[in-house]
Amino acid sequence: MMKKIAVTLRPYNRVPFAYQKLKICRNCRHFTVLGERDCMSCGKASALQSVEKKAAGIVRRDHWLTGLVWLLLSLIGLLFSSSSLQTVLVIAAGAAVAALLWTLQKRLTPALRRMQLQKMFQQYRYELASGLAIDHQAAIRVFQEGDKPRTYEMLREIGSLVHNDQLKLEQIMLLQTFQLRKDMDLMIEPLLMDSFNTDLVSYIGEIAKIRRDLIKENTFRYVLLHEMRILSMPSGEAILAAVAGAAVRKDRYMTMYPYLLTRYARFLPKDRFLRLFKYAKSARSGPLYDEVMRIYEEKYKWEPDFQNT
Amino acid sequence: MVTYVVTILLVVFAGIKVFHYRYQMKQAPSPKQLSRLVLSTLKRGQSDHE
Ligand SMILES: [Zn+2]
Repeated sequence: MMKKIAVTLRPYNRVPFAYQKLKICRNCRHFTVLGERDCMSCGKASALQSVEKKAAGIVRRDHWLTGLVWLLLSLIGLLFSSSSLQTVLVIAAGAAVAALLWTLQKRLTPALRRMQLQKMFQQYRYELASGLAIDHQAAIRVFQEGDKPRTYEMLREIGSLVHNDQLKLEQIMLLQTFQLRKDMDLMIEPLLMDSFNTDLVSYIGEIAKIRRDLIKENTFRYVLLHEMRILSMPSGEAILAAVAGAAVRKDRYMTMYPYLLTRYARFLPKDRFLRLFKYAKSARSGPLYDEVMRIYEEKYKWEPDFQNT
Repeated sequence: MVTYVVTILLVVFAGIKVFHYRYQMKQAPSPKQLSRLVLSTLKRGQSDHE
């Protein structure tokens, strides 16, 4: 087995919506999720701007243009007014129009920005796709230079927008070469694939040991779907037991996955089994209850921890 | 005379703008839809590259 390396990973910056990670070059319209300020494509310094800022800029320019037309019309009206009645008319109309447009702009700015973003993504779909492909190539270059943690960080960023198995696999392969620790900013659900993959399963097994909280519905569903093939792996049973141990974390999961727990309750460590025991006792019937009671009778009957539950 | 024309122009301009804004508001995608648009574009883009 390959020796795992100790690494420090930078925390992952989570955003509410994936597209918010995108930046665009002011100069060549290159899209990226990697660059901080300088464009990787045309080399221009400080040319990168978040797409949201870009859209906000376009909307702002449009608001200014509207304001300019309003100002121009109002001024012409005032200059050519030949009576006080006309002056009052122009001022009244100008003020009413300004109030109306200002209110609308104020209220609609978020929607207008999203409209601009949609336009940008549709108009430059080719640049968008090629930009992320260039990002991926950059990550591969960093890998060839030997910086694995940085490669993983880059792939993780790209993976927030590009959901394909190859990218997930590359991330999992890298993670499998790291010594994973509790304090690392790890993830699992975004890396789940449709197909069975031994590296992914090994990774799930490790996460189930160090970060149970990351194991959620999709992961349980994945291991249940591929249970037979996982069992054919050398450490398959231990991995499934670790995942079952993660299911014990919440009552909801114990209700949702009784089959997983019934099958692997026997392999749970004592503290996990104790939790399951308390839950099963409150349920009082069913195959899970029977199995838990059987194990209790066999292994834990005389344990003091189990007496006062 | 010019003042009247300009006043009418102002009102027409406001009308066009209001119409335009209302249209944009109705068409504007939600952030979720925007994310989906980007993800699907990139999915297609990736398979083109392969
Ligand atoms: Zn550029």
